[in-house]
Amino acid sequence: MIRLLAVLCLALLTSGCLTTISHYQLSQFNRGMSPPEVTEKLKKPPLISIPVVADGRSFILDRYFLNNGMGADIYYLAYEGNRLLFWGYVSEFRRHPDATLGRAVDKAIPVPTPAPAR
Amino acid sequence: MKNTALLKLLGSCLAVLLTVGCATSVPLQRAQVDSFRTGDSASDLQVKLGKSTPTLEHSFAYAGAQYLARHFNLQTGMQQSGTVVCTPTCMYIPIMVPVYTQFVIVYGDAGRTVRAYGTLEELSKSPEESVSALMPGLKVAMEKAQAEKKKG
Repeated sequence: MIRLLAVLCLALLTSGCLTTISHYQLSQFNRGMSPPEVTEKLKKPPLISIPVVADGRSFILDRYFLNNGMGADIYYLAYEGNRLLFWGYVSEFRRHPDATLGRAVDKAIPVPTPAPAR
Repeated sequence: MKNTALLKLLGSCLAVLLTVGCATSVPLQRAQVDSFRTGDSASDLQVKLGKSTPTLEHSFAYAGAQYLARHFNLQTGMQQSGTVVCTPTCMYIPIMVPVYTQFVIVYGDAGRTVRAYGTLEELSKSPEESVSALMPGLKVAMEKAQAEKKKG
């Protein structure tokens, strides 16, 4: 029983470490980096890469989980023309002066629409 | 016995005070940052910086121009830490430890005016391309300066 619990704990810890990125890593990015350069800095690939077209512009949005100390928050890295354009929380994308980025992230995470009233 | 406990407690407090007091730089506070403006002269900004001291200073070049970067510790909060003193009964002594983030001020115009300021992350992803373009060079120069500081 103890062994099983130990294995489960280890699996949870390992998977947590593998899927999340840390805040200190965010300052290592530079605009214009290619996806392999970013992956090399993070030492891990994204959870998912989502191709999105917004206002006629094509983006790739890479989704990660960012460790916030207590859990993890969804965090996106946006590439345009295979170059890193912006990175941040969903809210940061939505208030970016380049409004297309906000629309792109909205396409990557569709906002749930409320059920129609009966 | 009581004297020994008191001495140990005082010793711990002294150690904390010395650690904080002997910190090599005085951190920056949010209220100070709120008063900064791009285009401020170096002397105006020095007044706003008050007693805050940089942790690192270095120059770097971009597109044929020279820039100066001054790095500070910006205090973003406090975190509770603690130590256990046993004399022989053990007691936990809570200590509040400041939390810092690295903050950079970039001076252009041969170090005379403030070109940009913010955390490394904020500046790196700045929508203003003339600011984000400075960051790769700044980070390379920063790593060199850090290595030299460690050596020296």
